[in-house]
Amino acid sequence: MSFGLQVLLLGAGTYLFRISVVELAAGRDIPARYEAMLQLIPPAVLSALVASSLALENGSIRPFGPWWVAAAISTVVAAKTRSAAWTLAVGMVSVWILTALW
Amino acid sequence: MLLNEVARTGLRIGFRRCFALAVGVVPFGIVYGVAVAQSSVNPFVGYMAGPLVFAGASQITLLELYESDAAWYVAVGTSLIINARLILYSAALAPSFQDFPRRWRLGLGYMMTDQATSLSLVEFRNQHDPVARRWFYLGAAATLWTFWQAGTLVGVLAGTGLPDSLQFEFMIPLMFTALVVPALRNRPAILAAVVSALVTVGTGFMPPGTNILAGAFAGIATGSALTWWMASSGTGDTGSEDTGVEES
Repeated sequence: MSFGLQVLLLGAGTYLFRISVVELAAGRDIPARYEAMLQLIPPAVLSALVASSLALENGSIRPFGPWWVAAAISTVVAAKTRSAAWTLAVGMVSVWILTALW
Repeated sequence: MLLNEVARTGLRIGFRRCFALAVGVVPFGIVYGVAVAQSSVNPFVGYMAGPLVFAGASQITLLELYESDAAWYVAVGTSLIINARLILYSAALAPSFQDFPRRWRLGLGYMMTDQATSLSLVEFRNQHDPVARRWFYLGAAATLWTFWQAGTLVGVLAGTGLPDSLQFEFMIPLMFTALVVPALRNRPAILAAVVSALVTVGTGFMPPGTNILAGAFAGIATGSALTWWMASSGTGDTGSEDTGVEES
């Protein structure tokens, strides 16, 4: 199958994922007990994405090094400033400096 | 004026919150664009995956699998698994999207990303007006969309990427760190994040994307259990300043 058709399939499937629950839930009451669960989705998914991109390297644990220290610094900056701009800026500069020094 | 005050304010705040993150995705747009330029794929078709799919990791995976002659169902299936977390985001956004007209839901849904979803859910804690909410989401999501497509275009046209020494790979955990920290506002959320990270790493041997889903579900389950336990044991205190229940 051509790449273009695969792109169309992936695009259609991805769009259905995006609108799936939004459209199923439209016009219905969402019980309060589910709302507490829905609020746990961002912390759980985003934390999984941090873990997989930081702690794993080709399926095994990334050895301790500049990335780990820069990630710790970035977490502190994110908690203190709540600013994505500061977190990204300090994080990138940290990883450059740490890599040069390591 | 074409747009009223609420719309312009929403767009402006959404743009501002997302701007740094949008700049941060440019290197990955370039990575995808360069991969297209260096592949056997027609550059225009390769570029069109940006607007048609608009989910970077899955686009790169699809292209890699296509180039390695994987069967189409393996290539598309693997890429869809990477995007399956969007179903969870769809659930997380459902309570707020309920108040939007259908064409807004269908249009804004197209632009659903990690960034637009998490920025919006943080914003929606204090912004309960559905009109202001949808303009905020549009401002954030469209900003990310524009920078992603621009990065891809640069990559396709330039054909060479940024030097490895710049370590832009680190931008991925960094960006998700910037998004997750503001979401950790009570004990169930912190527990969900910790369990999710541990399970994701522990299941790192599983196929790409499935360990992330395993982690996320484990995190949501344990976080929910803690919420219910705190409610039923009469703790009352959920460890948070605001319960954050969407009541708009």
